[in-house]
Amino acid sequence: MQLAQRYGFEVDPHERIDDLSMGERQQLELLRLLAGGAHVLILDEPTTGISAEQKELLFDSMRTLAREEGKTLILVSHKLDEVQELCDYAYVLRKGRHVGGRSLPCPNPELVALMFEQLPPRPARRNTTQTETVLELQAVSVRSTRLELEPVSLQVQAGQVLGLAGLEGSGQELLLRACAGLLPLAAGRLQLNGTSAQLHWDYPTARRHGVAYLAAGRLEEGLVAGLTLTEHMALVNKAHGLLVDWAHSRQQAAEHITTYQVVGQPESYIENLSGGNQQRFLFAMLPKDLTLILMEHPTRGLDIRSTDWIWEQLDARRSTGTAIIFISADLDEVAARSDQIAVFSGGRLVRTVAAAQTDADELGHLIGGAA
Amino acid sequence: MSAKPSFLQRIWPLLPGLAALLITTLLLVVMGTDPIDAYLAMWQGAFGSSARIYSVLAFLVPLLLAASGLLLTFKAGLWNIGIEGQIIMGAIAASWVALRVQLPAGLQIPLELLAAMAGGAVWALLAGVLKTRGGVHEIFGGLALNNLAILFTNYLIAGPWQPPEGGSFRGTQPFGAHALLPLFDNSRLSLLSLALAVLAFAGVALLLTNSHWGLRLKALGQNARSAFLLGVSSQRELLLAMALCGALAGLGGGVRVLSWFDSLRQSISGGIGYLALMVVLLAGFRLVLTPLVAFFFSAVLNGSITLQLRTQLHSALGDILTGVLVLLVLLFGNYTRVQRVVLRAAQAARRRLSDG
Repeated sequence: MQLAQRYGFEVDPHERIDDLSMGERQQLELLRLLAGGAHVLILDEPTTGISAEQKELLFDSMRTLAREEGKTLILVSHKLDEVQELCDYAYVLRKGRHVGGRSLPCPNPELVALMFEQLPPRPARRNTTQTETVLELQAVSVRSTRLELEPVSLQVQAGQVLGLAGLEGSGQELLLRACAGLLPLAAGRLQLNGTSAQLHWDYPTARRHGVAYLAAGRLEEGLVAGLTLTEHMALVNKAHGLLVDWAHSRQQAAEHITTYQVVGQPESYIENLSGGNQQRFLFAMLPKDLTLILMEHPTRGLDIRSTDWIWEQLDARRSTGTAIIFISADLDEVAARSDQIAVFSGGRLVRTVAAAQTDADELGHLIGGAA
Repeated sequence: MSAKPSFLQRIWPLLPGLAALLITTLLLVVMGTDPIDAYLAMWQGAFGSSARIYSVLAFLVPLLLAASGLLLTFKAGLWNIGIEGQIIMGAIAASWVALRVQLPAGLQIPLELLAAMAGGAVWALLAGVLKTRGGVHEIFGGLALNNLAILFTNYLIAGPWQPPEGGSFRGTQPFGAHALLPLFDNSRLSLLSLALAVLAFAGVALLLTNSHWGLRLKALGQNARSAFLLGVSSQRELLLAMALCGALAGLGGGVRVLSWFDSLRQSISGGIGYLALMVVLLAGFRLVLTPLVAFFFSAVLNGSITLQLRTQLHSALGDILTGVLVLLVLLFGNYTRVQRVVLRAAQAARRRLSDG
């Protein structure tokens, strides 16, 4: 309690952990570590999910800890303002490499330049002529236990690619899952291809309307470890009769292996394939005519060859009028592959920009929370 | 690990069996019985005469029916502990028809068996709906339903179905001969029920290896989330698996009242459901092993009844042998798992040595 008073924290010691807010839990955790005699504290995105008031308190205590008590603090953050406000020196990491550092404060654009480099030239791509609206969201809000997504309104045209950018957990995942029917809408209307808004929107309904959803965790949400490629084929095939035609499914799996250049055998268990090959096989299992493809991190962890191949496939789908919405932590990918980019920060759609009219600087700022 | 299994790896599955035998033998020696004598008595109790063999087979029928059903629910990732109650409700439903309905000869028994299946299926569906709609884990729901089924039996025996000469709390009055399954050669074995059990197992085997539905169950059991995303309707398939398992278990219960006994008794199942769980666990959920293990259990348990008559040893010996066996198999049956645990323990010991 003495410790708590020193930093101005107000945590009731008799409260149950479940009943504390995120900010209070964080304060408790800090007190626990300090009471244990910690000298170095590493805080990973400490301001996600806490109130502005608690943030001020946290920052004050961090300053006290560093300046008056000689503790070492390491802050991991995407939010440039916070970094500028609190830190003495910033190290910038990009794609697993240390790419530079700056003494703080320094002008924001210098940090942004280090973080996002120069955007690569946009690959040449067909312009879609279709202007038919595939998906329309009207003031859609979504709630999860950790975050509430404030109302979002947007439209996606046939053949269009919408990239969702933002720090992980800023609300873009909620939106994507709501579109897939995996999370209920807390409010608002969702219309697909002009379907009636009264439609009860859940995942099976979305599937029936030609919506496909590819999650980030391929073996957790998508593929079934312990089943072979042939068994996967038989599973997604429309069942004709009671018994599985194994020869047919096997042949189908073999055909897909050839067309989609999967390294594996029809008898291979899916978990024994590499991530790139698992992703290829997931694409192979997608139905032919789709209205909308929703993807979380479609190329995360894949090599360049698989990444390019995936986007070739998506481009082919696009040209037949399939709309695509995807999330990626890779800003280069978002900028290069999207027609439109929706930037999320702290549970809010900050801005929607045309991909052709933006640059890394702007995107970086938007993601950092400077609307 | 090399692709070719080592000698130790190949004989590994036999080791828990040998160890269980060893432990039981030790137990016999401690109690002052000649183990050879005991095992011989057990063997003769199971296979000593044709009557004994029929008895083993008669006991096998409900066990195999329940185990076949459990293969389905286990494949879907469900722990259908409620199978005991499903057997009991099957027995109750069959008894109801046997006691209260009078039909022409060709219809009486089929209706009894159908009622048994329906009774078991309804009880299993209750556990299933509790899970899919109520979020009650099937283990807890099943246990509660098992107890309710036992209470219901006791109520029926002591109350509305008590024999006219007064409630004995032991059973209802014997069913009429027309309502009972025809028995083979003065034994407790009904050939019809044996044929049904074999058919049921074959059907389950076909469903699991070759049907779309079996494949969906497998996907659900392995990864319910992915299966759902690939378009498998988890609720429907889980309920269907429960219902089918319950129907088979219920049929087993019906066979118990209509051939093993001739009336509804207090402990009508006597733990056959739990026994079936052990059978499937011991078989490692493998199709081919399941009937073999079920037969083994049936032989050991029937044999130990004779053992008791002959050597004054309690017939629990059979239960001890099978129980120890299941425990040992679950603990040590998986070679790679044991190897991993041993390696980790060795590493920890080495670290402690180098630290101290």
